[in-house]
Amino acid sequence: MKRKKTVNFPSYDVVVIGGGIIGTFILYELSHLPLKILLLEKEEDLAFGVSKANSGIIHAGFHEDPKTLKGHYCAKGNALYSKISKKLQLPFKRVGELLVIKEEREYSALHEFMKKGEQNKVTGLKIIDGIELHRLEPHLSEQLVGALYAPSAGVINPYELIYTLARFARCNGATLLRGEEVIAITKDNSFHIYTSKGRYHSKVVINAAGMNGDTIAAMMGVATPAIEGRKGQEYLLDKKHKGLVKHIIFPLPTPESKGTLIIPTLDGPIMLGPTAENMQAKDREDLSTDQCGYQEIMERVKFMLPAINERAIIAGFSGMRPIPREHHDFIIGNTSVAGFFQAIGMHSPGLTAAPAIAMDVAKMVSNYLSESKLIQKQKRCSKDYQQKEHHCLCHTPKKLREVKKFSELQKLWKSDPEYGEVVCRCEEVSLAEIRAAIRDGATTLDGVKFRTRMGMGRCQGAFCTYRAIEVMASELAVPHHKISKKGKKSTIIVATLGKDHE
Amino acid sequence: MSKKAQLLKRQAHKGHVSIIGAGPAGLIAALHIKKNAPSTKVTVIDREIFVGGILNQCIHPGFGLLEFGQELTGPEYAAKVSALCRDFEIEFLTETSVLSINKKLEVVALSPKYGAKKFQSKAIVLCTGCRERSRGALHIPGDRPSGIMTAGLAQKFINIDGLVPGSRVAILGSGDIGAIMARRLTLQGVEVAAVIEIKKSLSARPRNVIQCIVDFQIPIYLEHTITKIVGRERLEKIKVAKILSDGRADFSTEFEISCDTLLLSVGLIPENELAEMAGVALDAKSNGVIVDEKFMSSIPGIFACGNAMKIYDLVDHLSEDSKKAGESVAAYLTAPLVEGKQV
Repeated sequence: MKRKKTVNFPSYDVVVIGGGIIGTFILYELSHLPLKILLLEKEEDLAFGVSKANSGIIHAGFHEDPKTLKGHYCAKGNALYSKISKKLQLPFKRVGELLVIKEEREYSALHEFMKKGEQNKVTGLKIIDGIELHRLEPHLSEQLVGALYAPSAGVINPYELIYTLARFARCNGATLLRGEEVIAITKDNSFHIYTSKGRYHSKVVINAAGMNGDTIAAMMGVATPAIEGRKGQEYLLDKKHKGLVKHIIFPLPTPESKGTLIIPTLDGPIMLGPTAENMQAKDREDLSTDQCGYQEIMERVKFMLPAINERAIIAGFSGMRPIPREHHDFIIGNTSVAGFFQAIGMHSPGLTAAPAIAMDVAKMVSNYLSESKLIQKQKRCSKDYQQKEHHCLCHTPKKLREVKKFSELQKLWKSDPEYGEVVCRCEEVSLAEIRAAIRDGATTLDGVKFRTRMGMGRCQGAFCTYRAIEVMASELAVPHHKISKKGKKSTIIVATLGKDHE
Repeated sequence: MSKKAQLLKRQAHKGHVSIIGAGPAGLIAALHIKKNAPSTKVTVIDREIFVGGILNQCIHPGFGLLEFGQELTGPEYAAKVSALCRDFEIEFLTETSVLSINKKLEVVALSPKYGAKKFQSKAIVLCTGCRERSRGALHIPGDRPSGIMTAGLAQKFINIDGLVPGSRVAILGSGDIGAIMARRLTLQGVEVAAVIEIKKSLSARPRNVIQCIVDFQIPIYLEHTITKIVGRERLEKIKVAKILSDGRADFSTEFEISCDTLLLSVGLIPENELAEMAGVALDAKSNGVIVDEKFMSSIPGIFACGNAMKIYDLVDHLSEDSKKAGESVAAYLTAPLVEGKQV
């Protein structure tokens, strides 16, 4: 007898493509609605694309032109971070921004930014003189004569934000699939999404694919500016230099970027950078660092902060900003294809704007679904998700490095003896936190690193990698040589003595 | 507990020495404190399961000629020293990390076995060893693939667990660990494609240069540096160039070496984060603890020896100094009290 194979592909209300800040934020917002939702990420883990090099600044919003989406969403997003960080119990510090000038005549530029900022509804802006500036930041160069002070700017840990949003979305019922690259999308009654591993149906598709936003748009035949890469190199100082600056220090911006900054990151280390290097289309995934970028940053930073010590640098890396060609703004909203939405071209201030964008996109999607009668309009089932989110919060792992009191240390150990094993000595990360990261979905060393800070300190993994691989191999029940830095071929171990790898 | 017992306990604690690190420096210091001040309570704290520190992963011979008059491997040397310790009542707290120390000589430690512990010590001896320079500290430009690690990490992988970190390896720097790893990997069937050294000569001890690099005909590139790391996932190749007299790379001489692994052996930095936490003065250049002739740091009662104080080439020399350090700590502890202060 002939048997006909019938395969039922999983069907969703909304599929979000891209597991960066924008994609996970949208997923999180949608997870509060009675929808069946899926997020697809092509890399091995969330936050492995554009977001992985994000400097974690929540900008005040005076840099942006009020007529642009960047201007519209920046201050709005900034304000939302107080609420969101409280709700997710994420550390967030409003450290403030200082836009510094080196000549008296540049005060006019400060006034212009202040005007822009006020149009964008940035609060608390103030122009200060050199005396006030050096009172706030005593280590800054004497040559700096004044600044625009924006107290609302802050710093957050962008990875922690993404993984927390993902955890909340998951506990509200969202599905997240990683290592699945979208290869093609077709549309008839609904969307058919073909990935490197499977096939899905959906009523709505949201393109939040970062550097590949244009590729996804092209699959739907939606005309979109090409996404170009603008590379930024960043360098990190040993955390013992924490406190050298307390505010985020900006020079006057260039047409390309907000300039080379000095950033007191949330977790302590000071970050220097980024550069702004326009890349050729073929090089938009080139995340290499080079001597030129390093020297450029050092020169610019030393001008503002002569006390900087190059020997204190512990790491350098690059990130890529997705810039829509000749557009210079975000691309957000519906498209020529009904049910296909976009949130792409997210460069600075993308992280800041993300909560505001996510709320708007979720609203658009929800309206579209009910207006086109694809789903019945339902109210947020708020009690249900509040309960789930409360449960999620209770299971957020504690951090050993944040426990200062002896009695609390003892309590932490009693709650789980694995808090007693310090795996990463530089950043004080315990075995309990590493295990929690793996159970949260980390399958790679970078996944554990981004979730816990393991290996981010001064020895850069020289001491902890050995133990981390051992723990990962046992927790994931795979041999050591399967553990990788960031997925695919990035393994650490190539052979085991006395054993044949298959 | 009776009042008298409480008093006795307090006094016992008063004579307490905390030694941080159970490598050769810590073990030998402990031994000689106990020999010279037998009533002192000595606690040696180490984060690892076994004592012996880095010696446990140094399975090659060449240790002990001066100290024991015979050639030993690292683990044998460690075993000999810890056997000597067994004759004395020394407390070992393994799998225990010291989280902080301060100038009041309080030590806070944490272990999965018994949680947090606090010691009020009469003396602390820092034997925290050293770490290797990382890629970030060396500013090696390029991609960030896997396959780049310190020589010490590679040594731990292969010697402790039999995990081979690569199939074609280049080594940057020519320190002793790098040289020893060149031989170790070659003997394991791994191809060592290059040893790249920025200086005019190899920095390993002559014996290691000959026995580990020259004898195995490993290509040596003196006065060369790495200009770029290439590889998105695993390391694919490195770009190498000659250096000019001012230390910068001469890009006209740039060439490529294909390799899937790069080991870094470019010098050691004393690991002194705990010392710094207590406010102990460190040498600005070497990061070693600055000590006087009695191995005491800038803070009275805090001593340092071994690689945390200065980087040694030979464990035998380290042991000799650590013995002296142990003796001075004992002398410090047993010195008569004058007006409540030690002289």
